[in-house]
Amino acid sequence: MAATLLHLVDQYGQPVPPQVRLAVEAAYRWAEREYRPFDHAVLAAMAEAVALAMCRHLDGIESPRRYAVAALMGKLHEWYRAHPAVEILMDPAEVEALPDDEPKSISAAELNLLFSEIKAQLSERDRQVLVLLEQDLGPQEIAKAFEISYFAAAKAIQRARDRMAAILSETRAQKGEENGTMNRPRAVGFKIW
Amino acid sequence: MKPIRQFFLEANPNPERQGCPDEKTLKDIAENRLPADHPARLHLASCSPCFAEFRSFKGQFETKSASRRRILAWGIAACLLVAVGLFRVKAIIKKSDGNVATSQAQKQGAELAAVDRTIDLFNHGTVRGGADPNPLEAVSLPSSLVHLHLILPRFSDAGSYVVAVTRDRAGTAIVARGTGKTRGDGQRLLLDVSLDLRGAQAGSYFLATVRESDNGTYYYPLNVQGR
Repeated sequence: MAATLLHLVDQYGQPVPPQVRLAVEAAYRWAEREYRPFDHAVLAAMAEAVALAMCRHLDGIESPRRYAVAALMGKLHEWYRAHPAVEILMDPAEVEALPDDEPKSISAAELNLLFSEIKAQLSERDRQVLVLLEQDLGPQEIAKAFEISYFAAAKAIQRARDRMAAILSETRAQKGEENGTMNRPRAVGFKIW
Repeated sequence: MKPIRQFFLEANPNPERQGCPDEKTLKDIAENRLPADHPARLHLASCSPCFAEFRSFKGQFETKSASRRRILAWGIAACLLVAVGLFRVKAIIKKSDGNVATSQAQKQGAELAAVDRTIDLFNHGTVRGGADPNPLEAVSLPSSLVHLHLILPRFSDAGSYVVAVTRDRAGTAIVARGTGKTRGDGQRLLLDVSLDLRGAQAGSYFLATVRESDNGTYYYPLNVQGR
């Protein structure tokens, strides 16, 4: 449990107030889930730093939870910027040995490329459709949200998904060409922290 | 992480949190309590901090739901176990009740079943002059319902007799009593009486016989044996 991992104290070494503790623990759990490959110890240190900062400015914080999530996310992004990916060479056998569920991290540059592709190729409507899908809404609810027919909503969902798939396949193809991985032993971009 | 989720999480920074809904709204979206056309739902497509908060609430909600489902499943399993246990206990109690009833019925049957006993007093006639009769040897009856076949002493008169089991010779403490008519068997007179000795405790008693038209009562020592 997050509560047992985090050592949340204020600048005087006293336990943080309950609202801070709850907010930071919730943010920590969220980050742990969203950034699964991230080192838990580093993440815990970040959460503890956030709690300390919150204690210093507690009077000015309107919503502790919102602050904690935003601050932890900011720290994560900062960390990613400060720790660029390192390319290591791996044999195909080693690559095959990697577990399937192990996320293959991509570098910040690749991520930026992906985001710019998404922004360029996905319309505002497509993004809205995808964000509604992230909220577990189905075609019927999406049709209601946009005041369109069910058929049109289903079509919009399919189009947004197809476009997203095309962007991802393009990005992968570009990455493969850049690495020249077609006819040579593969060198896989693998981010180590 | 899904690329599109990462996109929503990072590509739309909104440090000033302009146009952001409050926490409760984001929580309601995460718990799917808002209508599909609520404007805050679309706001998540253009605000990474809000999307992050939404994801945080959604994760929390999913964890809670999962634990609630787990508790519910355990509760159902526990209820089933308890129900099965109760059913088993009920079945066992029913079975043992049946056994008890059967054994009680058997016991009652055994109690009701009369035991045939014969006491031969033919050679133990009382001597005139008030002398004690010859002592009886090994005359005993069980403490149950007894069908007694009594062979009366020599020279006894035929007729109706009252046979009693008493604690003393005064004839006051009668434990059991029965009447019967004699029947002849050659020289002997036989008397059949039923005596209920179920309430009699084991010990020494007297078997008293008296012909209805006579006043004289004859006592014979008797042992009552427990069941």
